[in-house]
Amino acid sequence: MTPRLTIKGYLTIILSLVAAFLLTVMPLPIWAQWLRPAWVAMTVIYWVLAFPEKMNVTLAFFVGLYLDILTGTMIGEHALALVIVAYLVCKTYQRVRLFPILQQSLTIFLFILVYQLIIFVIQGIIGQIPHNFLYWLASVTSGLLWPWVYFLLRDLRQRWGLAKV
Amino acid sequence: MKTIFLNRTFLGVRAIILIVLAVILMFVDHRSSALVQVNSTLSVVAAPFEYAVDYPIKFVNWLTTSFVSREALFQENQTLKIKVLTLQTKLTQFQALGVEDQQLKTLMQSAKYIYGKVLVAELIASDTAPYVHQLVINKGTQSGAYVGQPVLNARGVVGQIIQTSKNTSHILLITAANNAIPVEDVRNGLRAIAVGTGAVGQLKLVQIPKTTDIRVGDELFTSGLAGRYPIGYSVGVISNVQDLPGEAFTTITVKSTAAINRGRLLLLAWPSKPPISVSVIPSITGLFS
Repeated sequence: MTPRLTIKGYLTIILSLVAAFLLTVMPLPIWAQWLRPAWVAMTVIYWVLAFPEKMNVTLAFFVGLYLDILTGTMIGEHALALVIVAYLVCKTYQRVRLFPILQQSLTIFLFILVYQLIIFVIQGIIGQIPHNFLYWLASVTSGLLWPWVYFLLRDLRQRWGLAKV
Repeated sequence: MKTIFLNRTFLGVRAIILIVLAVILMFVDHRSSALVQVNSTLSVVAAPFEYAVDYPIKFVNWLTTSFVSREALFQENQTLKIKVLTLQTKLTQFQALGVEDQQLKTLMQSAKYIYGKVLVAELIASDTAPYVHQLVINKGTQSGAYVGQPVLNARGVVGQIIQTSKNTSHILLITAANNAIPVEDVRNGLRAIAVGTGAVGQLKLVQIPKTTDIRVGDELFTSGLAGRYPIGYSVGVISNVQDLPGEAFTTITVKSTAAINRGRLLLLAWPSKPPISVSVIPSITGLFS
């Protein structure tokens, strides 16, 4: 019953993550700085939902490390947050998959909120807390944009036949 | 036979191992500089992303500048010529003042003020997390940039380099909460430490006793102590002084002058540290001769 990922599958996952990294460092005007959704976390959550047997905490850990290097945060910070979120998704994927899309958006909002909370706490421990309530807006924008991310990646997955059962 | 359920114990164990690993990494990264080298090596793989988002923006900039009218360019050229002329006349004055200053300093036998080499670097249009107060520039170890190097712009001190790779470097701004810079009040020579607050363009002076003479509007320059930042560059202006009855020290906020979120050009400085022996040894030999 476990689907096996094809090479095309792995390639698509890597490409979608590359796109997420690009969106993460893409410059935004200053007013939109805090609105940037957690693209990488959303992409990771999608692939965990799609292939929880193959893509789970280990993927999240390495993607998180890379995100730390890219965004200049302390090494291990995003890795920790992503591992915890990926674990939560692994535990609930059977339910979340069946949710209607709006309810799924709400769940993603909660997942990203947990992710942001972990980063907020770590930043607090090292004394560099984000001095702005707008920090929390990222989870709102992530939740709002989830349907598009979901349909886009799902179409890719279905059309290209990324996995063999 | 495989079930539709995940092998849960295995997943939990792996998650816990990875969490512990992440915490250890964070601890090492925060407490020691052991990871600086690793970080620099790894940021080589981050550079392609940084350049990939920068090139389209560079291209648009190039388009807009290449379609500027001849008239506008001509006008800009005129104003720049006038500016160069006025600045040059000012510079001749400063040269005379500089010589005088050196003589005075030798008289007082204090450290000499030596101008080091500088290099122009350009910002890469690549965003970092907004709460870490970092910028990415297009100069790296290939151009001689090093960790701890001071970065300036036309208005004042911007920050210091905290991570280098071959062609890019990350700058930690002076407004970051984990950055401190030794400063001196221009008006009365008072020395202090300005620490970033984490808010945009804002620093604070720490551990200033309540009796200290310090006022709103005082300008702060780098004092050059500790040798990391060169002497005499503008850091900020005091914007607020507050005496809270419950606090042991005065609460002083400083507005950064460098206007860090404007402009694309920055200067990397190589502060040439004044050799201590130069100013000390002559006086000693003078004593015994």
